[in-house]
Amino acid sequence: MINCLELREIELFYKNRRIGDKISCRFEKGRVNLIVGRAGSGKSTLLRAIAGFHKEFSGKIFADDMSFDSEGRIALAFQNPENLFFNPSVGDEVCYALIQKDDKEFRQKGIAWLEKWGIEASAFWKKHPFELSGGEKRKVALSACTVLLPEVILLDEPLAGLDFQGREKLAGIISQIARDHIVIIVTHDPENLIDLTGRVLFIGDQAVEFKCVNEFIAKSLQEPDFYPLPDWYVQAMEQKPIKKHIPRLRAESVFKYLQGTAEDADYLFAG
Amino acid sequence: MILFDRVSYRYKENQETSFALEEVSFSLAQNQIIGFIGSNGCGKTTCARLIAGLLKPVSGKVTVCGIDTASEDAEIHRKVGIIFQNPDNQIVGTTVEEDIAFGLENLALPRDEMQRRIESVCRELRFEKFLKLPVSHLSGGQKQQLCIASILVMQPEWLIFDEPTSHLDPWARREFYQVIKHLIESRKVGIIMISQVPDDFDLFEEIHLFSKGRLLFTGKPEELKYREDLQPMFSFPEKWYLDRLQKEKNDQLS
Ligand SMILES: Nc1ncnc2c1ncn2[C@@H]1O[C@H](COP(=O)(O)OP(=O)(O)OP(=O)(O)O)[C@@H](O)[C@H]1O
Ligand SMILES: Nc1ncnc2c1ncn2[C@@H]1O[C@H](COP(=O)(O)OP(=O)(O)O)[C@@H](O)[C@H]1O
Ligand SMILES: [Mg+2]
Ligand SMILES: [Mg+2]
Repeated sequence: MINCLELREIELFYKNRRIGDKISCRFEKGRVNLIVGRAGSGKSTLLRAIAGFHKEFSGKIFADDMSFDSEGRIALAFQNPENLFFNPSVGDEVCYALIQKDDKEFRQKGIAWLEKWGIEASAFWKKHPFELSGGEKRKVALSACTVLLPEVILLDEPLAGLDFQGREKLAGIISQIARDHIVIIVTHDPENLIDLTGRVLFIGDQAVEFKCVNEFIAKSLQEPDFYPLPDWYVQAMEQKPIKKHIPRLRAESVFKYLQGTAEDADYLFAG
Repeated sequence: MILFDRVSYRYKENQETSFALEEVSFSLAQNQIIGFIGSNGCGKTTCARLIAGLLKPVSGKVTVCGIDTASEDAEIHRKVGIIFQNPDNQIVGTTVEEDIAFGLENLALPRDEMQRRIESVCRELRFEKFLKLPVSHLSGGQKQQLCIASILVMQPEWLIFDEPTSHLDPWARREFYQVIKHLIESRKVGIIMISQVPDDFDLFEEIHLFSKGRLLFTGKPEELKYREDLQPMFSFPEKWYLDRLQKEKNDQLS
């Protein structure tokens, strides 16, 4: 099992056109690694490069100091779920990878995994993936893509289109997986994942920064142009200047922080 | 005005497990931003398709600007502009200008009227500098603005956005909010916005909350926020929860 996936001076290209600055960072297991930044900054391309689908880049990727070969070791859930679907039914989609692996219990495993993501198998198993609502497509794609749970899990905007319950469910599944897998997630909605996050890779117009989640939130609060956090959190935090610890992006934690009754569990992971 | 009179809809008839929109009734007035919210699969997009005349009700009646959507009157497609979640599915031209002109071509307008509309909408959205560009050069947020421009030149009375901000970065979301506020102030139009993004909820002047094919709540966000009885059907965003905690505390103090 890999403990650390390291990017050393990665530069991405499309037909010799360079996308963004050099990226160096270390993604570890134990906690989620987030990637945030402007649209077009190269986040999806970076995930595809790690997965081995995008070959045009310079620099090196290491797994525990050995050159990383992605073959059979990664799952990548695309930004657009429709790009993943190629089977005629939800059931076939989820079981596909299991059947490829000659797993005899593919059916039971497929059903259980799909339900874990909040899709009721009895109602959806035979449906065509294109006849689903936006959020249902997202859930089926995430479920189908992660069913084998390889060592490295890459999710490109997995929260887009999910309802609040779906987001909480995703957070629950991911927090378990991240304990012994390397999980890297690109998102524009860090609110629901920040509690699970260890480090954040920020890809900006001016600079690329790799920070502990605590420092990332602190900088975003101090410099609103750096990264816009949810309005409610920013407004609440204006009432009381931050000291060393920063409250989680949860109503209850922020409320206790403002009251001066916050406990350790109400603060963000501080590295 | 949009009227839903006991509207039912099913994608597949006679299947027990399949989704059904059940006898939904409501009316929507223009000149405001209306939010459609609810869990995945509750029927928001289905309602949007019914309003735009892309689906016809199985029973009941949908009336938009006085037109019964079942009447096959093509006028409906001019009255309602719908912007789907993935802008790529909607862009047809190869350059920005071509894409904006596409819908207008079918209206048989004089050339100079077409040009006038394109210019005025692009000026309004500050989109002029992109007119000659190939659409492949636009970012996600810019593609969405292109879809808005292509629809605005048709001068619709209703605009429906299906999860417009889900794929926008937080900077582009804020730009989108400015565009929306400007649209509602500058013309006679109604805006319906489907969303799962909590920051969007601040825009809504009226909310329609759906659950499993039924309309659960219609009213002001300020009212919905305190309806804890509805929480089992729809998890409220953190920001509403914080407002409630603060209100409870203030109530205690006073
Ligand atoms: N083309 C279709 N054929 C069959 N069933 C469909 C089709 N489109 C949607 N459905 C079903 O109808 C139900 C309502 O779908 P709809 O797209 O209206 O949901 P929604 O409220 O927009 O959800 P989401 O938040 O996930 O986008 C879902 O259960 C979905 O599976
Ligand atoms: N297939 C492609 N061919 C050429 N350029 C591309 C392609 N896909 C993406 N790009 C360009 O690469 C840049 C980064 O894209 P992407 O990785 O999708 O960004 P993000 O995921 O951060 O929004 C953008 O400028 C985009 O226009
Ligand atoms: Mg992307
Ligand atoms: Mg939808």
